[in-house]
Amino acid sequence: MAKKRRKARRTRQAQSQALAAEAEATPTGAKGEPSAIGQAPTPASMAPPVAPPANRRLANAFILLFLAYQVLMPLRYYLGEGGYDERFSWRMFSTLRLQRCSIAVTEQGGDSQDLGPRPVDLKSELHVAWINILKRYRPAVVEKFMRSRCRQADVSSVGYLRNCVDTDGATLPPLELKLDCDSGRVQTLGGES
Amino acid sequence: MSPLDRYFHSEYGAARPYLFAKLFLVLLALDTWMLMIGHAGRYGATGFNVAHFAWLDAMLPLPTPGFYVGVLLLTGLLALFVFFTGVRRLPLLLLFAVYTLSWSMSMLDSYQHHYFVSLILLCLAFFPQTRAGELHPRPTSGTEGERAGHVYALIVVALVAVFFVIEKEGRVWRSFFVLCFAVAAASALRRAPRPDAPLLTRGFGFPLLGASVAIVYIYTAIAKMDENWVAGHTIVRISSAPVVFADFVTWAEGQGIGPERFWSLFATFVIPQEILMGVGYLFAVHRDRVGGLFMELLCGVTAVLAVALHVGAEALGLEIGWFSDYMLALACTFLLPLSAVERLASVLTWPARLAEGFFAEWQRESPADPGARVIVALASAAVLFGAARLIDLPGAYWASGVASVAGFFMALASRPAQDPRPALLSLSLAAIAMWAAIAMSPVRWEYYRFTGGDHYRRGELQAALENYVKGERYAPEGESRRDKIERIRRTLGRGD
Repeated sequence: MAKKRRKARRTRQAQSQALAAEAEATPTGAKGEPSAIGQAPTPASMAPPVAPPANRRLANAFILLFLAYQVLMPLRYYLGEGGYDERFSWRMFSTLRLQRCSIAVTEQGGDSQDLGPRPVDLKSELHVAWINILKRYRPAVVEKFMRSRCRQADVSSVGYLRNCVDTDGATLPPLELKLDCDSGRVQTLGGES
Repeated sequence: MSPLDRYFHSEYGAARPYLFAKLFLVLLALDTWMLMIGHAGRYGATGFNVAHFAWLDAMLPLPTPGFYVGVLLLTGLLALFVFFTGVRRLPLLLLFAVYTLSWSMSMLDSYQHHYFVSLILLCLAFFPQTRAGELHPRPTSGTEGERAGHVYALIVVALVAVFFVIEKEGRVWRSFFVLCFAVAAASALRRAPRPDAPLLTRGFGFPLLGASVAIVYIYTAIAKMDENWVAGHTIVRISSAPVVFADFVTWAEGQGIGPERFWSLFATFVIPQEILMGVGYLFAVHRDRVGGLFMELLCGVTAVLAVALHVGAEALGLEIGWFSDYMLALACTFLLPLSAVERLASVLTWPARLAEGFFAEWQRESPADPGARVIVALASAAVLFGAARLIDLPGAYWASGVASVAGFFMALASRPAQDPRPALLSLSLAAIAMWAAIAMSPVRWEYYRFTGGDHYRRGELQAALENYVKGERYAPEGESRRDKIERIRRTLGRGD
């Protein structure tokens, strides 16, 4: 039985190689589609010929681009700064994602510098899903939210403070950012950004 | 032939891409309708949004629940349309664009598997365009084969009913295996028509998908090469691992392996497992051409590892949507022997083969004159709008409107030799399936409950009340929010 299968496989291989060679010589093969509807199914030995070389070259260019994108996109995370933006990097269930964090956003008014920073009530300002993303420190989201606070009347600077406990229970150094509304510059005051 | 040509342009069993495309498209449609819509209420809440790409942020207006739901409904409709009409490049590229928009419009959707689904859709656009009738011939009318097919069709209808009953309890993985087992049993009962001569085909989409899956698995393994993961801390933190695997921990303790060491070994094992699975997928696309003991062994081991990993993920109760189901569909079609995939396909293509025969007869007996085309397009639009009315979700009408316009375009712009009626009928069937899937799932209840809850938290009581009241129509048994509604009414009454 196994011998028979091996023989059939060898025949198939030889036939497909012959067909491939034929298609190279006469570039008029079908576009990778089997026989038309209504006809009997194509037997294994009659697999459609490979596409003409010109079509293959175009397809290969697309394939290489697509694969390069898929390899480079996650690599960007590892070779670049890494950090907390793990999108497109296949880092599901990464240690960073499972850290337990709390955040506080504060703002300071231009006229009330002496009173010190006042806390922003995140629950009334944002959907809880965005608060969770802020806890995970997705830089684009944190920055956009801080800038949106600058558009409020009487706000001259916005602060973001994040405290986390790692999966092994260790307390991580706090991350502190400050946005100066006038200059639009974000400063990292503590921790890693 | 260059190595690149040999890898991406060689032949493989036609049943593999055919079956995967069908399974994947159904899963995608149900995923968008029954799962993703539930969280639509958060889109645009408080006027804040960040898209995945800065250029999209600049281009798109603030997403709203209606816009998001509409995009999801269209995605599902298009997925089922392709399912019914066959894998065609243009609709698949459109599906890729619409689905990608659904997750990329906001970072609220940060599921990496949604990004992965987009990659799969792009590969699918370059799959071979095989028809059910080409895979297996339709049994002659009145024969034993046809009778067996009708019995099988009844079994499938019963299975779909079972699927929805179990799905209602939210045990997706269990329903998947019930379905797999039942289909396997049905296929064992019904002999494949020509198991000796499997149809081979070419098309670079299928090997490209294999290579893409390999890249994903290898990167997920790399992501776990981290001190905390290897020490076992992270896996313990993931949901219910210590509870689910408590028996294993006890057993290991009996062997002198403490819990810490056990979790460390357990977590570390996942790294080579995922690397081997990646390698397995790279080779699997050539299994039908090359064969041999090594290939059989590698694919067999990869299949076992894939099932263990993804069923394990489901057992842990991870919040990953239907990711495991997509990955198991991949494992079934890439890693099982072609004879098994052929047999499954012979069973699953029965309705499609019947439909092909029916359409061919219809087209012969009643040619598609312009009047008939417009009438079918009108009927299709009526079904779409009827479904939108029954669905009772924001965005349903505009999604049906877009689908209806596409239907009229198909009816009026198709060439005289082309008959758009089967495609229009497919659109109507997709709309009916959309209504049925949404009606059978708790997704509307989730949508209104979550939206009401969000308004309530922010003190927007009138909006919260409206959503809770609407949600009551769809509340599953024992989940009613009547008390909360009364509380809000009393508060609002006092406020007045």
